This record gives sequence, C-alpha cells and structure tokens, in this order.
Amino acid sequence: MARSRMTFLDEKEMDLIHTQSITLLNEMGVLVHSKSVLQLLEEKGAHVDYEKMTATFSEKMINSALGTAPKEITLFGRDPKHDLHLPAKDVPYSVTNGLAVFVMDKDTGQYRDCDSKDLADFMKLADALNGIDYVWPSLAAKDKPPQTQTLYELWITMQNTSKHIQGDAIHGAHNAKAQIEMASLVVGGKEKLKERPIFSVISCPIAPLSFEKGSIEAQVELARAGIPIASMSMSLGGLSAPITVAGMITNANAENLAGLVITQAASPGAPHIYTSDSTPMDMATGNINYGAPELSLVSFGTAQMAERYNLPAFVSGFGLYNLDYEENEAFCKTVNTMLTAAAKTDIVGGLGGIDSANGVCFKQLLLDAYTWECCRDYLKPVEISERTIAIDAIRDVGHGGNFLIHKHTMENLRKSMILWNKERLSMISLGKNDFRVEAGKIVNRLLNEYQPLPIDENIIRQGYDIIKTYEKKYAE
Amino acid sequence: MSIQDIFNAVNNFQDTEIAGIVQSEIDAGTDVSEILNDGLIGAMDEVGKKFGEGLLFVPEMLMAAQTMKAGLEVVRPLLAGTDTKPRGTVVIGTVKGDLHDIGKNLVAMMLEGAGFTIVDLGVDVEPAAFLDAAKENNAELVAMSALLTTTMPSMEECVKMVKNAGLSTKLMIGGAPVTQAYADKISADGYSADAPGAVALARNLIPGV
Repeated sequence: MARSRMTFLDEKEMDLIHTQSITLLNEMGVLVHSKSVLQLLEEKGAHVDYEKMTATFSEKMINSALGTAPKEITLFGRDPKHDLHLPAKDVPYSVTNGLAVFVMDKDTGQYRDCDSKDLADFMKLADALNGIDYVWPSLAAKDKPPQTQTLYELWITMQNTSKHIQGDAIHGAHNAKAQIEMASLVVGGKEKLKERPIFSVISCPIAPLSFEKGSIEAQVELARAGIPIASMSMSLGGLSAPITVAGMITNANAENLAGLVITQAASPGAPHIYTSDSTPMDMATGNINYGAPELSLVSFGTAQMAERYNLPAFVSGFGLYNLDYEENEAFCKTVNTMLTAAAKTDIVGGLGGIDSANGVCFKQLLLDAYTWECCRDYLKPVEISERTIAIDAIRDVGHGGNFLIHKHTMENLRKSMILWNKERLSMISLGKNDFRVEAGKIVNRLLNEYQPLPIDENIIRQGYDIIKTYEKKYAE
Repeated sequence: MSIQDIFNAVNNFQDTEIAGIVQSEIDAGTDVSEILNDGLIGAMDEVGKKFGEGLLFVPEMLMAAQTMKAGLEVVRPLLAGTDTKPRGTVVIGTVKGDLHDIGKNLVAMMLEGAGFTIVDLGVDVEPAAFLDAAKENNAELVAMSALLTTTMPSMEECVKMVKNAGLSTKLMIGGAPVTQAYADKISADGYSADAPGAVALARNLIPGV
C-alpha cells in the first residue's frame, strides 16, 4: 500500500541517531529521582551511581527492552467499539488536548480558570464527536484537593466517555494504585483490567534525560498492572534539548529508549508507546513554540525511529488552529499542523487545545474534530495494484474515451475517492465568527442531548470512596 | 582599546575576550564608572532594545548578558566607594513539590543579565526557605515558579509568610498554570507570562532602580 507519510531520515541518519542515543544512555545515562527505581534498574543490569542518582544502560539492556516490548497493543474503551489497535492500520487516531488549566467558556467566551464541571462537559463533548478517537482528561479539576486532583480527573472522565482515557500519574505509586483500583471497579477486577486496560498514562521525563520520583514510581506500578505507558519526551530545542532538529530528535529518542527500559524492567512485555511532544522554544519568549516549522521535522524523525524499533508512535499534534488567529497566521498554523500529522505516527494529539495547550475551547474541539475528519483521509493507505491501475479499463474505454459510467469507476468511486463530508466541510468553511455561532449551537445541543454510556451508580460511588480514602490517608 | 570596544564585545558575544578588553581600558586609566555605564550597561541597553525589536533572540540576549557579566567581574572590585548602586537582589526558586525548573532558570538568567543579583534556591523549595533566603540576603524580590497546579498553594503560603514577617520584600510568581488573577488572589505583587516580562516586572517592583 502507498502511504502519504513523511520519510525524512535515511537509513544512515537513523543509524546515527540510534548510535548517538546509545552513547548518551551508555555514558551519561539518566537521572532518576527514585532509589527504588534505581534499585530495580540495577537488578536488571544498569550501572547505578546512588550518590548522583544516575543509571547508565548498556546496548544489550536497551536491545533486550526493545525485544520484549510488544509490537502491537490495544487502547481499550469502556465500550469495545472504541477499542484502538496500535499500530494504526489506516489513519492515525486522534486524542484531545490534556490537563489544560484554563477554559474558554462555551457561552460567554471568557478565558477563565476551569473546574471539574468543565472537565465533565468537555469529556462528554469529546465522547459525542466521531472525529475524536480517545481522550486525555482535558482539564485539571482545580476545584478538587491537590493531592486527589488526578484521581477526580480520571473518575470524572470515566463517567463522561466510554472511549479510552490516557491520563497522568505524577503523584507516585500510591496514586497509580488508586487509579488501578478505580478502573478495576469498572471492568470487573484487576485481572480483567490487565486484559483490557481502559486507561493508559502519559509519563513525562524532564528533559534532558531526567525522571522525577512521582512519575517514574507510578510508571513502574502501572507497567506491572498492564497499563500502557506513553513516555512522552518534551525535548524543547534551545531550552531542554539541543537547538538543532537532529539534537531534538536524538534527545527524544534517548528518553524514549530509557523510558522503555524502565517499563520493561518493571514488567517485560508491558505495553509502551514511543511518545514525543518536542519542538523548539519560542526564541523571543522562551515559551514552548507549537507553531515552529521544526516541530513537523522532529515529528517526522521521531516517528521513523519508533517505526525502526517496531513501537507504536505518538509523536504528532493536530489542531491548535486557533479561532482567534488572523487568516494568514491561521494558514501557516494549518499547514504546519497538517504536515505534522503526516509523520509516520499512530496518534495525533492536542485536539481542542488553545494557548499552546494551556487551555481548551469547546468550539475549538468541534473545529479540530471536524477538520480532522476531513483531513485524515489524506493519510489513508492507497492500494497500488493491477486492479487499481486498471489497464483493462483503459483498453475498454479506448483512445480518447471516458470513464464516467465505466464499471471500474462505479466500483471504486466510494472506495478510493476522498469524499469529504459536506456537512463538516460547510461548517469548517464558515468564517470564524459564523463558525463560532453555529459551533455554539452544536456544542450546547450535544451537551444537552447526548448521553455517554452510563456506569452503574454503585461503581461510581465506590470510585469516590476510593478517592475519599486516599484523601484521608495522604492529605498533607 | 576604547569604551566602544567593550560595547562591541558585549554586542558580539565575546565572552572570553571581554575580560582582557576591560582590563586594557582600566590600565589605560579610563574612569571605571564610564567603563561600567557606557561600555557594559550601555551595551546591555542596546541588546535589550534589539531584543525588544525582535532582532535578537533569547539565547543571544543571555550570551550578551554572560559577556557583560564577565566584563563586570573585572570592574567590580574597583566599584566600591563609587556611586554605583546594584540593581537589587532576587531570591528565586521552583516551589515545593515541583521539580520543573527550565522556566525558572531562564528567568534567573535574564534577571542576572539585567543586573540583578540572583539567589537561586533550586527546585522543591519550602515556603520557609524563600523567607529565610530573603532575610539573609536582604532581597528586594522573591520570584516563585510552578508548573503543576497542585503545587501552587505553596505560593500563597509563602506570600503570607513574607508579609507576616513584616518584610518589604516584593513577591512575583509565574509558570504555565499561574495567572494574574491568581497573583491578585494571593496578594502577590506581580505575575509574568514569560521571562522577558519577568525582567520588566522586576524593574518595576524594585524601587529606586
């Protein structure tokens, strides 16, 4: 099958990135702010310096992790119709922006602090939209106690979507255990959860090459429970990674290999997704720059490295075509976002996000979901075969003839043409002010009328009991 | 050698050569205040202007600041007894429970480049540690950073402690989840969305500078 996916690095360049990553991990290693994880790594063959809190890995150890990591994994939904098999066979899957701290109010347009009601509504909207394949809990539950926010975020999201949930567990092993317990309630036990993990977790190193205590201990706990880990490198060029595209790709690659070694050390065969959200810093402000052209190039390169390692890849974003941008800026951002999605990635993320992912917007989610439904077809595999080349049809039609009602045309019209959904297309073609008005109607209608797949009330209550118990035990 | 050579060295990021250039100027008998104000500070003002116009970028501004600092080290021992006042002292850190420091480091570097004396407490800093450092160093400003929403309450705690201690130290906050509204809520003296803004804010907050 032909694929319109970017090949950016050649074999030699990939070899170099790989060997330089190995050199980094072999000589400099990673800083791990957790004695227990360092001990685990030492047991599995890493060289550990407990004073510096570093671990270095041999190439053999890294190859062993690559050997045990599963090549295919599934992100399960509460509703099996939402199960997502990785690698993605046709087009990438899409996921919402996650854990934003601000929300564009869907009615007033005010950009404000968010709360758990906003989270519930946003997740419900994401559940209703066909263009969204799975979710990150899109908003922080800032009205909840700090030490249990993550647990509320998982539980509120769980009630409002039956799609797969990819959250976080930065607060350590206890927090991870509570999440496992809560999700187990929904599927009917821990063993069932291991068979069908309905949630996975993003675990971010601190670039370059550092792993904080809470996240990494949670990662170990989750790997043992069969919860997929997406070890997301944020290698920001000029800030936490070299300013060059090659440097960003290599740092992200090294961090992914290190994250994988840790997951496989915890539980050989544990599901793991190669993940990167790497881009240069904004050279004018020092903030993250999701509009940088280099973002696409880093996505292309990291996707190829993931493919080389036979790991599912989540290295691209989509959206961030902010409704407030002027047309020319919107054009540049749209081109950039479409290019990034053309990396050999299995997942594109960030839908619904605004303000460099610090915020989310209900209407933006609609725009991104609709745009993705139209754009993802560019990435469909294309059959190049005798059947599709169809020289018999050409002979049939003859010199200067036409194919209008030829059998081949009729058979392949709906199979091979990208036929954009007219309703979607007309929506996203509206001017931004008109779009806002129409999108507002759709958002409110969906929030009023759409019902996510319910969870038994007893289970919901038990989940909140787990959170309350955790609050009492771990409150500061 | 001339003052212009010092000025150019900062603008050309000649961080290894500037010490020699400054020393030559001192040896030639040039007034130390002139070296400082026209050569070094004047050069950083030019750098700041170009940065504001989008002609220079953050890494270049920091490199210029590093160059200026290298030149300043040569001049500093000779400044005692002159009228030159330091810009002010800033205690900076990432709050308790948070290990993310890249934004904090950038702000610290830019404040230093702007002439402030920096006391960097690192990451995972207890509120009391900010207070103690502010007292020990007679700091005019405490700057706190957080990336995680769950660590932000520590900022409020620190603001209360500093104000209850009766210090005149100002407090500014920043980080991705932080807002002006939050700064107002906890009675911090200021908030900045980015590092260049933090420098401008520091200049406004520290009196007499």
